[in-house]
Amino acid sequence: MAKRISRRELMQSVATGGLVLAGSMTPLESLMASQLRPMAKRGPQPPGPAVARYPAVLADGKVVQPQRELEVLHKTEVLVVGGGPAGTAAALAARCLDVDVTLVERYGYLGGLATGGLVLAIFPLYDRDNRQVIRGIGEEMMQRLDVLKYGIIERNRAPVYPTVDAEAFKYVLAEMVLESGMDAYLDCWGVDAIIDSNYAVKGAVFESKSGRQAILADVVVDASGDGDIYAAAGAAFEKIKDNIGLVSRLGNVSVQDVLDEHLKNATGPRDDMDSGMPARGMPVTAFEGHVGSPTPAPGINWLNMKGPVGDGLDVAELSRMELLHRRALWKNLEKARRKPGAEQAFIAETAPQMGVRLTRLLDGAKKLTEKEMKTGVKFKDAIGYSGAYANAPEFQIPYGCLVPAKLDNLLAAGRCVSAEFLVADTLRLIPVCWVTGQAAGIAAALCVKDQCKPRQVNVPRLQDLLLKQGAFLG
Amino acid sequence: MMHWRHPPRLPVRLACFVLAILLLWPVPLWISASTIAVQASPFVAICTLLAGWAFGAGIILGLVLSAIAIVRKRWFCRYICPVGLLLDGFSRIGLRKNAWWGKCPSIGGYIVLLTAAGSIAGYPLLLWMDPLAFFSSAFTIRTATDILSGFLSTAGLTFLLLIAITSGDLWCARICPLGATQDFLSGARSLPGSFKDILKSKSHGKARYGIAFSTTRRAFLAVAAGVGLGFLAKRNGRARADRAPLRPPGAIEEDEFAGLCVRCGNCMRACPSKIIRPDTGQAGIAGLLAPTVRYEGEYCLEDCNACTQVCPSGALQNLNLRQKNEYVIGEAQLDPSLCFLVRGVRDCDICVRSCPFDAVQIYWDEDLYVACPVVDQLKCNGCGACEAYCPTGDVKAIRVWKSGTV
Ligand SMILES: Cc1cc2nc3c(=O)[nH]c(=O)nc-3n(C[C@H](O)[C@H](O)[C@H](O)COP(=O)(O)OP(=O)(O)OC[C@H]3O[C@@H](n4cnc5c(N)ncnc54)[C@H](O)[C@@H]3O)c2cc1C
Ligand code: SF4
Repeated sequence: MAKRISRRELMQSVATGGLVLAGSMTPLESLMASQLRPMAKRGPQPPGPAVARYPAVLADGKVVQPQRELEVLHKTEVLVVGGGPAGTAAALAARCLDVDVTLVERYGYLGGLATGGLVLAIFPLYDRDNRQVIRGIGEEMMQRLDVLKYGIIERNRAPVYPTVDAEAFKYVLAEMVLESGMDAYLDCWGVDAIIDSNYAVKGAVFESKSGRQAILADVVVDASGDGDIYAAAGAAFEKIKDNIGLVSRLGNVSVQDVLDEHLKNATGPRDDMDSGMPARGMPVTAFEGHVGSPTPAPGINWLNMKGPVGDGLDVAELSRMELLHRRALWKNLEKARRKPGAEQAFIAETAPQMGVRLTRLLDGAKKLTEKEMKTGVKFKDAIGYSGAYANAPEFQIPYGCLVPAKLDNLLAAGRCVSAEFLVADTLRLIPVCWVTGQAAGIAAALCVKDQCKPRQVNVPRLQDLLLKQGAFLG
Repeated sequence: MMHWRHPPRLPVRLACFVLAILLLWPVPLWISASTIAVQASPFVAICTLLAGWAFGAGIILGLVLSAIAIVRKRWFCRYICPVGLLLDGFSRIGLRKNAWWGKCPSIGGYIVLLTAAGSIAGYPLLLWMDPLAFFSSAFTIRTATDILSGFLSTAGLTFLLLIAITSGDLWCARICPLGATQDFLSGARSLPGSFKDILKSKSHGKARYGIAFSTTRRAFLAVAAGVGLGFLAKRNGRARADRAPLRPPGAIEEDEFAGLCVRCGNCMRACPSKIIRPDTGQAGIAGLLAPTVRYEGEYCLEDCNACTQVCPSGALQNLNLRQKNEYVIGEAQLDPSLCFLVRGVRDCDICVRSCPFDAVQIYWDEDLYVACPVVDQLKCNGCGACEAYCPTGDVKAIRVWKSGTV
């Protein structure tokens, strides 16, 4: 069975990893040749069984994909599509309840925008009184980062927010996924939903180097950030355009805090109203090169980019933007090198994935409104909190935001859940994605255990399990 | 201490004292209760009326009490004034026998003349010397956010109490403009030499001692000086207007503001955001202790107009909620060299989110390849939400500046 194979592969990789680790720590002579295992055969391989091919056909100027049966790569109970903050939290939470979990991610690492997007600041975590209101799995991730050298900085220093190291975070997530014993497929794009005649989701179709394959599941959690799966299944959603940037990391930056420097020189004390009144209108000064802010790794800064407003689902627009962003980053670097402390700066890395903020917002059983957010309405089916941000105090997130209005057997998590745009603008932030992810994961596991649909989930039980997993519900 | 023996007076005085405290308590009986407690002073009521910025129930009360003072000499001092009661008490425990000032002339009358004349010029010069304002101001200590402003808010009353301890009735008999106002009203051609005797005499009989204000010439000089100084102070205020700190919503023009403000602290206590702080002299000595606005952690709430409801002198105009939101406290301006968003420090848009009037938007400049918050000055009223929440640290990237100071 496909599942077994992948499990075995996983176990193998754990074992090899362990061996390499052991090797690096033990004196060389203690490693016996007999302990080494033979490698798979290198070079030409015997031909596999013949496979029927059904390429797309150009007929009458139209490209048509012939109808064909898809290979079922895998069967699972809970399928999580997308391995960002929401997806990893969902998969890990569900796996804690001992159901079969499969996590699929289109890139070769976990963490989504929080690692591959190089979006390294974790906020909003705290309420108005600087109490941490987002805990649970996200807190566990941060605790694992705590013990790593250069893993995370500014922890527990509310209202200052922690900043993580992207590579450390990728490592922590890989470790947690491996430990949990779930199945994970990387480099695997979810391209379609599988639905049955009752308009209930039964899995998803993926594209990878292995071709187009299906994964069947009892419940699907769409944590793709863009709602790719629910959109494919036909769920109603709101289309959003938002700023799209490209974040990068600069190396060899010794200006730890340019701001401090600046404050000393430029602006007088707070009471001195004579000084430093900036010019009116769109200012053109002070746009020298920027070096961003420190990360846990010494000498490495991360540089955020807001970017212009665009359609994060339009491949042509995304491609053009990404090229322009790269050009701009290089120009910025050249200007930044004129700054004292940044003369030897270089671009350590541009984010492997574009900084797409919001694209689709689900039409859910409940659409969280701006008014509810600002007035801090309490919900019976609350699954957690978002921290306070700007002048909006901390607010509760109801379970209904994760459940599609019509579609069955699917839950949304992360930045594509059901909320008004201005609310989603907060829900999309990393810690809040942990909250919706963890809740979606537990709810999905409950659907499997109780043989029910997401909208029928026993909410008190869901809340109880959330609490057991360390989440904060007020 | 003879007056303590007049039975009806003590209970009335105590009742008025308690009433004053109730009116001024930080949780007021009704929103504008504290206004009444200051406007009841005939000195404040008359000068404010002359300056022409305020009118209302409190002023009418002040005028009624003024009218009583015409027929009943120093009636306000004897029955109502809470400060008078306090000072009486303190002078009893003090060294009051040493009335070294016995032969000194009264200056209260000059204060009244100067101030009333200044009022006509639009600048009631010494209105802040009203004892009820001192009394009111002392309550501000409960809401003071730092030691200095706490100290300053109680400084006036403390000073009066020190006078009472060291020099007995000096304040009431010689300096207090509220007392002197009553003397004018009661038509005393001569001003009292011994306050004690005045208080003793229950009638409005003629005064017995020293003549402090007998010549119309001196009075005339005082009035002329008041008008002149008033105009001068206004000009001075106008010249300094661009250096003046932010004032609470409803504040009248800067040139008259420092003069009309009685420093009672009512607005500071009324503000739920605690953004109104006493001026510690940023705009020169003239503005000392007048209310200024500072956005440290909080801003001027879009659903509040409390401070505009409690000003006894009209230095802060009475505004309804809509008017208050239209009143321009200042204008927000961005210093891009500090802004987290511009500098790529992190994905900040806190100013945009926090603005209650949608006045801040993020612009993307294709050439500079930078995103930058831009304030729409037509929508911005300077409420300071952006400044209060901007996360750049001690110096905010976006700050509210006095309008017209560019
Ligand atoms: C420039 C920028 C700056 C930001 N700054 C901050 C910040 O400072 N602090 C903060 O807290 N938040 C910030 N955010 C927001 C935050 O990083 C993201 O919104 C958050 O990571 C969203 O989490 P998610 O799991 O919902 O989605 P994502 O992080 O987008 O994860 C989705 C995952 O699903 C995968 N995926 C997508 N489609 C498919 C598919 N079809 N098949 C398989 N896999 C798929 C993706 O590869 C990705 O790994 C910023 C965002 C941007 C763009
Ligand atoms: S809140 Fe301050 S730092 Fe943030 S975008 Fe606005 S001005 Fe910049």
